[in-house]
Amino acid sequence: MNALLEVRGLKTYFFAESGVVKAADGVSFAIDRGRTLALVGESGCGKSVTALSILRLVEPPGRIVAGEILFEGRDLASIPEKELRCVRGDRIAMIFQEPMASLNPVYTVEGQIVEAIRVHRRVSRRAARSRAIDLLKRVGIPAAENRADEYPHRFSGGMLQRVMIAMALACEPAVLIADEPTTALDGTTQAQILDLLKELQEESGMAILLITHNLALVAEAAHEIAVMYAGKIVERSSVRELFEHPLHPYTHGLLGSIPRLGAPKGRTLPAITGTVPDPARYPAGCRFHPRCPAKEARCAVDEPLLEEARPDHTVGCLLVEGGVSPMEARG
Amino acid sequence: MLQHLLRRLLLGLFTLVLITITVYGLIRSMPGNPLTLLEGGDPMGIANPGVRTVFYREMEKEMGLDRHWLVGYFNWLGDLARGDLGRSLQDRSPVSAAIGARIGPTFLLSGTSLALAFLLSIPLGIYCGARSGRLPERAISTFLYMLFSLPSFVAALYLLILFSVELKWLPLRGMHSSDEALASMSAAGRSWDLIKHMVLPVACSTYASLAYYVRFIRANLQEAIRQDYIRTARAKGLGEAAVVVKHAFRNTLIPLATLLGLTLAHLMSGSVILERIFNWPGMGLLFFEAIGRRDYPVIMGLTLSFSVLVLLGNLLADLLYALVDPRIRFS
Amino acid sequence: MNETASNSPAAGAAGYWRLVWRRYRKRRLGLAALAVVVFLAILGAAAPLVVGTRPIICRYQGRWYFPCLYYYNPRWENPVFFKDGFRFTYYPRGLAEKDPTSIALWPLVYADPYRRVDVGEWRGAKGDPNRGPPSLRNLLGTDAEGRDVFSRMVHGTRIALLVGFVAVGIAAAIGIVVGGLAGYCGGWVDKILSRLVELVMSVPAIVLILALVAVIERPTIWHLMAVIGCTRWESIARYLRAEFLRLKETDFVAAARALGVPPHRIILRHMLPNALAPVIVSISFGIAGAILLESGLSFLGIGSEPSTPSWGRILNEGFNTLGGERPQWWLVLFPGLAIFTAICAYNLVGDTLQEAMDPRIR
Repeated sequence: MNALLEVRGLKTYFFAESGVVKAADGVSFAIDRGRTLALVGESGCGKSVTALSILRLVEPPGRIVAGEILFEGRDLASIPEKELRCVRGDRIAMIFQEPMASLNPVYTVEGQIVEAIRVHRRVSRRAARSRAIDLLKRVGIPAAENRADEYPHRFSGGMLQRVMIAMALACEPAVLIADEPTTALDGTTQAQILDLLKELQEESGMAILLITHNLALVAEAAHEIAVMYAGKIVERSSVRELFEHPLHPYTHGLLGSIPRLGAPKGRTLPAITGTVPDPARYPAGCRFHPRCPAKEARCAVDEPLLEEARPDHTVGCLLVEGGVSPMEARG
Repeated sequence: MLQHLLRRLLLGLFTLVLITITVYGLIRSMPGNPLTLLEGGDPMGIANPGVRTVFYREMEKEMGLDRHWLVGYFNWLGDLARGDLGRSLQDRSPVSAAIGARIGPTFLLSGTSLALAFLLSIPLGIYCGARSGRLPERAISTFLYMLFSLPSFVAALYLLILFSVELKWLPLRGMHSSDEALASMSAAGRSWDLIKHMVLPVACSTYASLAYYVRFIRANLQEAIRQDYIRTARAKGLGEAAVVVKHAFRNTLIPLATLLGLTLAHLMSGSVILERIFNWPGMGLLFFEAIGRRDYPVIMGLTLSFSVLVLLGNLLADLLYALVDPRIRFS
Repeated sequence: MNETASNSPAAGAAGYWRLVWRRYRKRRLGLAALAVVVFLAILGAAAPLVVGTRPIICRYQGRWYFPCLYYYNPRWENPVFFKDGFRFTYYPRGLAEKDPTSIALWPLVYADPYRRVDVGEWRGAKGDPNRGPPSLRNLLGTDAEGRDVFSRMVHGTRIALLVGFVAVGIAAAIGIVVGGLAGYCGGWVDKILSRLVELVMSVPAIVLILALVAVIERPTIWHLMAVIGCTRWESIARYLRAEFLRLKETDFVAAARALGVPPHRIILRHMLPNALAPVIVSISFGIAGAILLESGLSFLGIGSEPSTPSWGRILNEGFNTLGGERPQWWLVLFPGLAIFTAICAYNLVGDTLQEAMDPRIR
């Protein structure tokens, strides 16, 4: 039980006029020190909501209805707000998808980092400022002393994301949650940001929860991967294991749909048929069954539970037998 | 940014010319002029009819009423360039002096009103924005909305009946008590007297702006709170108060700054009615009286003054906007 | 589903309005305000039926007449009554004397907004109809001239709403033309027109209105309507321009152009119905603003003859009595309430409509 952060049975529902949206419906995972867990899935599967739920940043009409979030001996889902605020930004930090929108346009970059420091540490403004400039240097902002006093609109997207990382690291958190940190950036910058995160992780040993829909990214950046679909985790293992032995049909579909250099020309890119279900009305039984090429009659009735099919590799599919995917069984 | 301000200034000057030329042209091209109006009585007190006709003909020439109106306008412009706004038709006193004497009281009223509205609306607006949807906020907002729909002159009359006529707590009209009464008062007594006379006019002048400001701040605050950078601020561990005031409200200041400048114009127009009701010796009352007796030089002078003030107000709004939004200041 | 009906832009617009109405219905305050608006409109239109000194309908000397139409336009009073001297003997006595077999249907309350009612003029009524404060005879009291305030208020509704509608109608006409041209043509036409709008906007309204009114020798209520209309079209122009600029880029307009539909048809049939939504909101606020301006100007004593039963006028009379020994509070309370109610109702309707049309789904 030396997991740094463990989420157990997290259920976050949204109570709208039209009905209840079960965005996260019984999600469980754990992250260890110094490791990166990637939470992967299509848009609408609930991965961002899961990430936000960890720090209880979900806005009404959404709220956590069940589950535990165990961290440093406390259950973050139930501690009082005042206590939680000491965790936010200090022990667990978060960075978001659109850096330009995620920083306040009327305060300088230095000001916002200093704010992150002084909220949790009793230091003088000067000390905080010098730490902020050190952080900016560490994340690779050139001419950090000068640029620190500029406003966010003067930075490019990639630079701003580095600023956000610097701000997140200000209090040396044990966990960094990164919600699609590179989706809004171009390809080269994406790689740079991911490398930066890896470096920082090696230096400090912090755990990273990486939310993304981009499987190719995961191969580069993560150690473990959890695949989410329709509010539930459907497969969980190390990255290498997943790429070599995908078990769940959904994972098969995701991997198959990655465009590959050198693939034979003239073949259409395989896609998963159908669309993501409406989160207010999930299908009965296995939530993936309407789109599953390997489905059987019982898939529409029984809900699969996550079970360990291979060493350190859990999957939630009724048709996985003896560690073999139903997709392979079909041939 | 300087360029932008210069352009606005030029546009404003052009507007001034247009307004004054329109008013002057309309005044001159309509049937009837001050002399025909004066013809009814003998306000100049000239007994001999023969002398009267000669005198009026001289006045006509002096006023430029015998030439084409465009010529008259340019004459007026020429005089204006020399700082001469002409003389009042009623008592031949210089218009600039008359206006100068009246500016003080009008500014006292408008300035106090503006300051009060601004100071009171900020906390109220923040409260309504942050606690929006709850019952006390809904009640306050609805009440303010109704207040906004109440015309200032109706409110003035109601308040006058209640406080001046029935309760006799406050004076009925004017800026201070009679001169004999004033002479016997100490400096403190005179200030108190002024305040007593100011209460009702300022109250009537303020409440409408207050209602509007609160609604404005509330709407903009709700908009600001929806932004991504608020989520970042919460994720850093900031308390709700700091999030609302330091981050959300600071962004609301940007549109609020423009509102300040524009309210000046509104206060100007409101002053006409209110000064009439309370017999407050300001520019609005002078305008009203001048209209009644068709005192064209005074009307022209006041129209110019009002328009200049509005122009200055708009420029001020632009300036404040640039100051408050770093994206404009440093671009 | 009928294909052609659902494809025409007007039908698309109709479905939109149904949705807006459904969302509007949810706010009770908005519904109440709408009820008030409708009530005021009915009251204003049917004022002579509620209170007046002329029968709604009567049979005189064998023929049917509608004397109450006088209140809409003095020239609509049938000359036979004038000939028979009803102006001096008044209808109750005149009808009784000149034709004992006449029958008449009278308004609910017998009082006249334009003159004092003589003692004993209305049979069966006791007491002096010209005493000051509110009484059973004069529900809201009488003014300085002895005229019944209730009748002046009811007929004043007609004036207030007339001013509101006509002034805003003028403003809307100007605003739609200017805004539409600017939005549709774009380019330098748009630039020039936008500058013009900025110019108009930068003048404080009341200053301009007062200056214009000063220039006219004997301003009537129609002058007032025209002046208010000519100075308040700015917001309508701006909204319509924004909508047109947006609609210009839509597919169905491009399709219409490609089909060779002439520009005026595109504008009238395709773009205008879809662009009217924010304009309607503006119109509602505009009516509130026009009523405010008119009552304010009447209160200042400008804009109509003293006999016109405008709410602002009654307020003016009340104001003049304040300094004296017997302030006539009823001349202030009731018109003030009426003005407030009318303005508040139109503002609320506009506000609720705005919320109902907000594309952001809650």
